Amino acid sequence: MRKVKNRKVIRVLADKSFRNSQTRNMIAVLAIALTTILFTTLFTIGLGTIESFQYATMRQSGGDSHGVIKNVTREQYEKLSMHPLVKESAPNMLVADTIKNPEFLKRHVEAWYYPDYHYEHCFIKVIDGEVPKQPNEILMDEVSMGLLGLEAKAGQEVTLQMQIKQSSEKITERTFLVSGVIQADPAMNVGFAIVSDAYLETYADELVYTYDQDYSATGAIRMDVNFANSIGIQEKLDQVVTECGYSTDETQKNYIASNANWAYVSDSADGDPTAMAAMTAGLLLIFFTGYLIIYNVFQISVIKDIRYYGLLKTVGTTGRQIKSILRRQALILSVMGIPAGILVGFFTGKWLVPYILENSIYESGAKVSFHPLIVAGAAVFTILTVFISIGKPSRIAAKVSPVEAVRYTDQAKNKKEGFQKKSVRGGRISRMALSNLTRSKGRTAVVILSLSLAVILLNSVFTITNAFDMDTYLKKFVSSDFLIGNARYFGLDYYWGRSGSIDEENLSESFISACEAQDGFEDGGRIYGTGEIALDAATYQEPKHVQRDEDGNVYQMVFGEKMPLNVDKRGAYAGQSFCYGLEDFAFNKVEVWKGETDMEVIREKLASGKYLLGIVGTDDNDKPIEETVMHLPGDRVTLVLEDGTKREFEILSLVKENYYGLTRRMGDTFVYYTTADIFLEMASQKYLMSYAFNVQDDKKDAFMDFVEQYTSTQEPLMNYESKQTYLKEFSQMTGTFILIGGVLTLVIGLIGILNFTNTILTGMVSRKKEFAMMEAIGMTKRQLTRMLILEGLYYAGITIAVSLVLGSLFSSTVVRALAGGMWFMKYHFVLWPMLTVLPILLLLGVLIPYLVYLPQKKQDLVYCLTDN
Amino acid sequence: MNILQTSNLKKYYGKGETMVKALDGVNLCVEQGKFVSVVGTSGSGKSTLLHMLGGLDRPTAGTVEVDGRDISKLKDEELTIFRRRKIGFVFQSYNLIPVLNVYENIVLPVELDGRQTDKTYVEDIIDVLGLGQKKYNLPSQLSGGQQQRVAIARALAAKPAILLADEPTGNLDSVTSQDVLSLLKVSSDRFKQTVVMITHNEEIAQLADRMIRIEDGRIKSDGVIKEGERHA
Repeated sequence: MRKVKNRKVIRVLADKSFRNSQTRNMIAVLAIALTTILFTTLFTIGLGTIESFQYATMRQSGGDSHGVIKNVTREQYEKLSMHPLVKESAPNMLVADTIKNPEFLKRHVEAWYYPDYHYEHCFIKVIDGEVPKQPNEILMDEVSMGLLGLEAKAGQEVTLQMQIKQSSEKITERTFLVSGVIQADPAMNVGFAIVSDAYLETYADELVYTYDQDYSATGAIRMDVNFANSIGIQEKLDQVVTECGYSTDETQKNYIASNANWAYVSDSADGDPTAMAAMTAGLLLIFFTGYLIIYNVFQISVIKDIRYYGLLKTVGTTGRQIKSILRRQALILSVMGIPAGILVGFFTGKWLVPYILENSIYESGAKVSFHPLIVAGAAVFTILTVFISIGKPSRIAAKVSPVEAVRYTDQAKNKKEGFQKKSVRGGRISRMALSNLTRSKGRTAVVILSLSLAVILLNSVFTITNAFDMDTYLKKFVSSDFLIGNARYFGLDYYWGRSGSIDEENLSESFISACEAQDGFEDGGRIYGTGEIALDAATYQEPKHVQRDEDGNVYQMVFGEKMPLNVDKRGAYAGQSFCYGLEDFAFNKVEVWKGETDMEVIREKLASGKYLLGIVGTDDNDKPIEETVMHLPGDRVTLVLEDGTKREFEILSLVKENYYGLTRRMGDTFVYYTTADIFLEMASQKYLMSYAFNVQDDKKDAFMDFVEQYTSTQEPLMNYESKQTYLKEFSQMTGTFILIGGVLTLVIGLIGILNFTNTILTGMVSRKKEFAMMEAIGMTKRQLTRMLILEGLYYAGITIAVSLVLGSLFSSTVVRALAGGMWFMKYHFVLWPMLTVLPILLLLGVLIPYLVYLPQKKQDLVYCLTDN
Repeated sequence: MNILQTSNLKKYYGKGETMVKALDGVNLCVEQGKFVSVVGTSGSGKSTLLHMLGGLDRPTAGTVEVDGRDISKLKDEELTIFRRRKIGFVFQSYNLIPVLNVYENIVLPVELDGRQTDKTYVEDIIDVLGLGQKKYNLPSQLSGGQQQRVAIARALAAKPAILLADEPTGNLDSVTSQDVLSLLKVSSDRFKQTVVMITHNEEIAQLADRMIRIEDGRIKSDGVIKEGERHA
């Protein structure tokens, strides 16, 4: 093909006709901007969530270094850090095994040495004062300062009770000067005290490397490593270790452990099919919405200008050139619309991300930066949408023949030769209005679809929100108004119920008394629990589905390997067994699945001391999982007590596992329930795990303030959970959903309205002459306005009908399936959200045609009549 | 009796140097039931005259009386209602409503007025204009001549005081033009309808009872056409 130098003339033509269609341009730019907003918001939310997850993961793992080589000596460190792959490294060191100050029992403080050049990588930010230099200077985080009853200001003295090595119980009291205060990281329930280089030198003799003897982390270097990039971190770590002459084999003597920072290992989003599906669905929805309006705008504009394109054809413009004229115009419009859309979209997304994260464990520290990927993604997707949308209109413009162009009208094409319209009432204004909608069935359909989309989306958002079932949600987490216990019980330390640790993890009787004495207290019950009472392995008779390995041991599958259950020296499955004793209030919360169901009988029989209740695990939907059953009702079991004595019981019934209410919040293999009295016959009353109680409805808020106050001042080691806490969490979750759904619906709704306005507007402009003629033969402006408003109302009416039909269909299929997949959702078919917006639709149907017609009312009749 | 009367009718466009006197003192009387043609070259002011007579535009000075009423004094809304009751229009470009069928187009002005359609009268018109077969067709399925016949039927249906035709054959070939015009003439006679027709074609103008020639916004000649003088 011959290359012709015609770029310039095409450009001139494109730009000239571009300037001729101001209204279209305005609407197209708006449409493109709105589409971009949607894409940008989606990408910002997507990337922002990933980024925040990654950032939170980094903070939890202690920094953004690529990897860590663990527990090395100074010499090993020197050698490893010289390896050519290592770009940057830091010899971090724990300087005390534990900080024993009682103020830090609920929130531990770790004493570390970090070289100051490495602070940034560990997210250490000095907010007051300066970096420590002297041996007695430290950095401390603001929250820890607060726990010590100090202001978050540098220059104060703190005394730390340090247990230097875990092998020695010796506590060293050392007083430091806080040279600087650092920002506390809410992602971690841990505080930090950071010492200087000088400290290491001064106390070098207590920081000797003994890891090879007693596994003491104090004195061993935790080496943070950064490579040139984050690809293949573990492989690089292994390479560094082996090439320095050490082994990566755990059984070897010169073994050195290392691992990659999991923030780099797991990119939270790509493994998550739900997130990917949501993202894809979002992209498709936005693309479709954008297509509906951009296509419509260009279709209308091309048909309006069809004679112009015919004329261009007559003077020799080729179809391809006409297409490139349109493409150029679309490009100019995109260049105008996309930047504005990206800006608005980014800030919308940035505003939404914290709300999304609020419901995840990464609650605090949303981090959304203006990533080039957001700009690129949104721009590319919008341009793609624009170009796909103008495909059909530009084909029409390119294909039109000069002669056709003159006669080309936007008529429905189904009027065949013999077609007759057998009505005689069409002269009625209402009928005329209805007929006008059928002039271009395609366009009417696009507008109606565009509007319906927003309505259906709105209905779906509210259907899902409505499906959020508070009772189901609460039932999982809450069995009583309040549950109190040791802070460890609620935290990540867990309640182990073992004799060695029980004094630090049990609930205090004083807290219970304080609650019982408080105004509004109704009724409550203690829950005892211990892991010291365990199942006797020798006499265990397992149900059929429980299997034994070749050696006859009961095993569990752990990461695809058979792990036989541990048997301790008493011959019991210690570590896998847990026995609970319930007072009446707590006892009433059990839910029987199999066996004796009469609660009175159960209570009586349990009190005899000859029976126990076993459990069955449940899934998210509270359905029992049969494979978790370790005993059947009627089975005889022998329990081994702490002192080694054995006691025989019969399993009376199986109850459903009540994870949050009646367990230590860890799954144990063999779990037994009995009454508090029987429990206390077998174990000490210090194994007090928790206390559940109810409070008068009108006193709940006051009670909440009381326990909050009590646990922070009176007994800081105690903690609580209340129904209110979970209620708040629940409403936060539904709120977030409404917010995001609302924003999406709003923008899609705006697009629908814009599409509607554009169609009405261009419809009026192209019918100007027709209106003038009708006026000439006697249609008053009032009648004309009425007809236009009726047209708008028909649009609204059909939209309502379509929304009702498609919305109901969508609701009862897709939305139902979606809600069914979530354990805390209960699908109900609802139409009220849709019904509430219907008046708005009707109002729009009246207002938009009216407002659009207003300026045209003044136009000169003769001018309109003769204007071609 | 004069159904239509103008006195010293003036219409000026623009101001000062660029002022165009489209009509400059036109005095005209049309008797009930007559078929009058107005001829003139383009730019002579004949279309402006028609717009004034039909109440589509307002004069700069002078009055237009239709059926004894000065329409230059009416408000917009009143004027529109007056138009649909007293004036029927036939335009060069037919101007039918594309979404309405032939019958619906014809009765549209009556319907707009909220009146009951005189069915036998309308059927009569449809018969005379030979549209019986096409009654339920949409305008897009009709030829130009057929569309113009529908426009004439529509103009007649409201039984107006005058029927104004603006170059009714401007878009038609000569055979069809003759056909349409004779129908216009026939219906004018049959329904005793006053017709004012504007054309630049003298041959067509000859079909009327009376021919008025207009030039530079003024009436140049005004004469009754006798049977013998007609070409047709």
